[in-house]
Amino acid sequence: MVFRKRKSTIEVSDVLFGCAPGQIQSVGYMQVIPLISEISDDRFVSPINGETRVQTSNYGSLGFQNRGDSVVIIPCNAGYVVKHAAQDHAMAHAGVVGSSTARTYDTAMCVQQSQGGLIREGEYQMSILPYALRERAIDKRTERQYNRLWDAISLFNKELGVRAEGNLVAFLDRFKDELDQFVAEFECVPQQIGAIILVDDQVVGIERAPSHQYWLDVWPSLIRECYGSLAIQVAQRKGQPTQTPASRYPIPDDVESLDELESLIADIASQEDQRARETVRILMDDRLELTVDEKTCELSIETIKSDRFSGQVIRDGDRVVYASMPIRKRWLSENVWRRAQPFEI
Amino acid sequence: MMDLTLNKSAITPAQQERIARLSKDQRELLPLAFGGFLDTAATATARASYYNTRAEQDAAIQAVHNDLIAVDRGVYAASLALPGVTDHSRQTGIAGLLRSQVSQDSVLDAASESAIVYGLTNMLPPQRMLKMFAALRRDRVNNARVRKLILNCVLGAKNLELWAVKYRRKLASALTHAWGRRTASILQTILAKPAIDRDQKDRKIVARCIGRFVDQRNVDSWMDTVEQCVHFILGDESNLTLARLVAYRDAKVRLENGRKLPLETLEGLRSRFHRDRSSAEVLDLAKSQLTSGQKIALQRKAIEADVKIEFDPSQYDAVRLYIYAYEMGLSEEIREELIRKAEKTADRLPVRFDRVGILLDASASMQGHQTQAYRPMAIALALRDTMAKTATEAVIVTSDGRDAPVASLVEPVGHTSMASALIKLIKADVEVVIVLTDGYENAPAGQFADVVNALDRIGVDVPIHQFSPVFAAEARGIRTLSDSVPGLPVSKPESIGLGVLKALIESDLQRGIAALLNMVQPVIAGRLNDGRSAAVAHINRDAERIEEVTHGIS
Repeated sequence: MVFRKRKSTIEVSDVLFGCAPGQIQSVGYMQVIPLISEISDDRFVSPINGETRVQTSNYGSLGFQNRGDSVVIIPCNAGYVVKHAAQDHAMAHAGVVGSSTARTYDTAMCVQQSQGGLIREGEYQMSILPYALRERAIDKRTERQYNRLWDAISLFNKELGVRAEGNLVAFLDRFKDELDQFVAEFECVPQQIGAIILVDDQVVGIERAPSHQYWLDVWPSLIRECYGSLAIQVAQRKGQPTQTPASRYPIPDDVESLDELESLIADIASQEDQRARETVRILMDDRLELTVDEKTCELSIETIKSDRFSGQVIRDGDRVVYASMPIRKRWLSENVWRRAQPFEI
Repeated sequence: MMDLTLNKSAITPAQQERIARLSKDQRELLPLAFGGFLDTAATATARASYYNTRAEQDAAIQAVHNDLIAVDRGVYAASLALPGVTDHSRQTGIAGLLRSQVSQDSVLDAASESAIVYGLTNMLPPQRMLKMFAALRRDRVNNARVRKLILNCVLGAKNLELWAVKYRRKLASALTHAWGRRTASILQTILAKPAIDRDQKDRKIVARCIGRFVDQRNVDSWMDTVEQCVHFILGDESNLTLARLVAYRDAKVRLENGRKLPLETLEGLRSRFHRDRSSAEVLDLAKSQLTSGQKIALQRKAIEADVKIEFDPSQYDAVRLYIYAYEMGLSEEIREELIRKAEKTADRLPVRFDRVGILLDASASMQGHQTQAYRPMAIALALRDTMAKTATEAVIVTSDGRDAPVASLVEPVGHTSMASALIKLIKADVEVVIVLTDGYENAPAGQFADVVNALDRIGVDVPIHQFSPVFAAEARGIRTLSDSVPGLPVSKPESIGLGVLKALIESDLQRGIAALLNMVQPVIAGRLNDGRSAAVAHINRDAERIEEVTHGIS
C-alpha cells in the first residue's frame, strides 16, 4: 500500500450529506442516533457479503479475496477473531478490494499475543477494534510491525480488570454477555446507513456506510466491540446501569390522568428528537482535514486529522460513501472540562 | 371480565399425600425452580438466538433443569409433560431422569415417573428420540430403564419399516446399546436364518430380545415385520420382502426403484451410488413420500427445480405457517387456516375476555437469529391471533404504530418504543393488556416501566402481562420490560396455559402442584392403565406419520 499525500478539507456536514437523524435509541450509558437516508449505493459491499474470503499468509498481513462483482470496502480497523488456532489480526486502516480481485495488506496487526498460526482462507465473522485501540491503530497505520498494538491491548485489558497481555480475545471472552446485550438493545431501523454514537452523553463516534445492507453488516461489530467496549469502560468507572435502565426523561410523580401521561410521552419524544438534532447540529461545522492514503477503484481512502475526530473516510469524488470517525481520546477527556460548570457559591 | 378456570382435580389420594409431605426446603425452593424451568422449557430450542450462541443456550437450559430436578424429580418429570414444552426440553429432561436414580421422596412414585418417561418419549419425533438415545449411549448410560425404553420405543413402533430405511444407522446404534454388542451379533446370526431353521434356543432368544416388545395384540402378523426390520437395521439386506427395505436395496442399482423411499434416504443413495443424477431428479422421484414438514420447507427448491409440490396448511401449526409466509408470502388459504387455528387454540385456553388489548413488538430484534429467522415474530403473531380470539373484541397495536390485524404479516423492523402504544391501549378501554415482546426496549429504555408505574399512581388497574417468544440465556429466563409486569415465556400459543400454572405455583404451592399433576394425569394414567399404551401412542403417532407420507401429491 502506497501512502500519497494530498490535503483536503471537508466538514462533518459533508460526511452526513443526504442523511437525516432518526429517533434516538437510549439504553443505559449508550445512545445512538440513527442516520437515515434514501441513498443506498449498492456498488459497495462489506467483507461479510458471502463472497469474500479472508486469510493471513504471514504475521502482520491480512488477505482478502473478493470473488464477487461488487467492490468490497473493508471497514476501518476490521478484525478477525477465528475459532481455529491462529493468530487473530486486525486492519490498521480501511481498505478497498476491487471486484474479482485479491488483495493483501501487510500493515495488519496481530491482536492475539501468544497464539501462533495463520488464519486459513475462509469466510469469518468480522469484528471492529475496541474504541480505545482505534486511534492508536490508525496513527500507526503505515508501520509494519505486526505486534505494534500489543502494548495498547495489554493496557486496555488491564484497565478493565482482564489479564494484562496483548490478547484481545481475553477481553472479548470476559465481557461476552455485556457485549452481546448491546447488539440486542440497539436495533437498525429502515433506511439506516449510519449512526452517531454517544456514551455518557458525549458524542464518541460517527459512522456512515454506503448502503443500508452494508450498514446491517457492520453495525453489530461497531455497537459491540467498538463502542460497546467504551460503554463498558464507563460503566466500570461510574457503576453499572440498573437492570431496567432508567429512562432519560423520567415521568414525574404528579401525573394525574391518562391524557396528561400521553401528552408527556409525546413531549418526551419531542425532547429526545430535539436533543438528537441539537447533537448533530453542534457537529455540523466541524472541519476535518483529510490526507489521502490511497486511490483505488475510483475511490480515495483518506485519514482524518482534526482535534475532535480520528478515523477515515472513503470518497467517490467529493461524495463520502464511507466514514468511520471515533472521537479522539484527548478530546473526550478534555470535554469533561469544557462541560464543567463554573464555581458558584 | 376475565374468566379463569382450572379443571377439577383428578389426582390420586396417594399423590395428594405426597404433595402434603413436601419438606420446608422444597416448599421454599420449588416456586423459583419451577418458574425458572418454565421460563426456558417453553422457548428453548438450543439453537442460537438473536443474542446467544448454541453453547450458551445449552448451558443455561441444563442449569435450570438441574435446579428443578434437585428439588423434586416428580415435579420435574410432570413439568416436562406440560403442553407447550419444547421437544428439546423434553429430550434434556428424559435424559436427566434416566441418568439419575429414582427417588422415593418425590410427589410421583416410580411407576408414575416411568409412565411419564414413556409418554414423553412417545411425544418426541423419531429423529429427536434417536438423538436422545445416541446421547445416552455416548454418555454410557445403560441402566435397565434405558434399555427397556429403547427396545419398547423402537420395536413397538408401528412405522418401524419407514424408520429402518430413514434412520438405519441410528437405530442400529440404539439397539446395539440396548442389547449389547454380543447379543446384537447373536441376533443378527439368528435372524439371517429362515424361521423354519431356528432351534428352540434361537426362538427363545428372539422372543426375549424382540418378541416381548412387539405389540402383543398383533404379535403374529407383526413379528415377521419387526424381525425383517431388525435384520435390515443390523446390516443384512438378504431375504427381504418388505417394500421399503426392498426399495432401499434395489435403489442402489437403479435409482428409480427408490420411489417409495423418503427423500433424504433416496438423496443419500444418489450421492453414494448415482452421482451422475441430480438432486432435482431425486425430488421428483420422492415427492410422493415427502412429509408435511418437507413439503413446506422445499417449496422454494421445488419451484426452482420446476417440481410441483402441494401442501395442506391445515397440517402445520400457526408458527410454522407464519415462518413459511415470511418466505413465500401469505396466501388467502394460509390466512384462513391461521384464523381457524387461532379460534381452535383460543377455545382450549382457560381465559376469556370481553375486550383485550394486544401490544405487538414489531422491532428488528424480533427477527431472531439467522438460524431460525422470523421465529420470534412468528410466535408473536400466532399468539396475537390466539389472544384476539379469546375476546369478543381485540385492539391490536404495534410498538411503532402500524396496523396489525389478526392473520396479517408484520415486518419486524425498527426500534422498540412500547410506552406510547401501551397508553393507547389503556385509553381504548381494554380490560387486559397482553404485551408480546422479546423484552428489549430502546426508544428509550425504561420508559415502559415508567409508564406502568405512572398508571399505577393514576389508579389504572388494567392487568398487563408480557409474553416473550425468545429465550435469553443471559437472563436465565426472559427479559421483562418492567419489574411490575410478570413475564412469561412462549414457544407457541398453547403455552399460555403454562403462565397460569406458574402464577398458581408461586401463590399457592400445593394447589399449583395438584394442578400440575392434574394436567399431566392423562399421560400417567394412560401408561399405567394399559401396559401397551406406549404401543398405542406409537400407533397414533405413527399413523400421523403415515398420513404425512401418503398425503396429497401432484
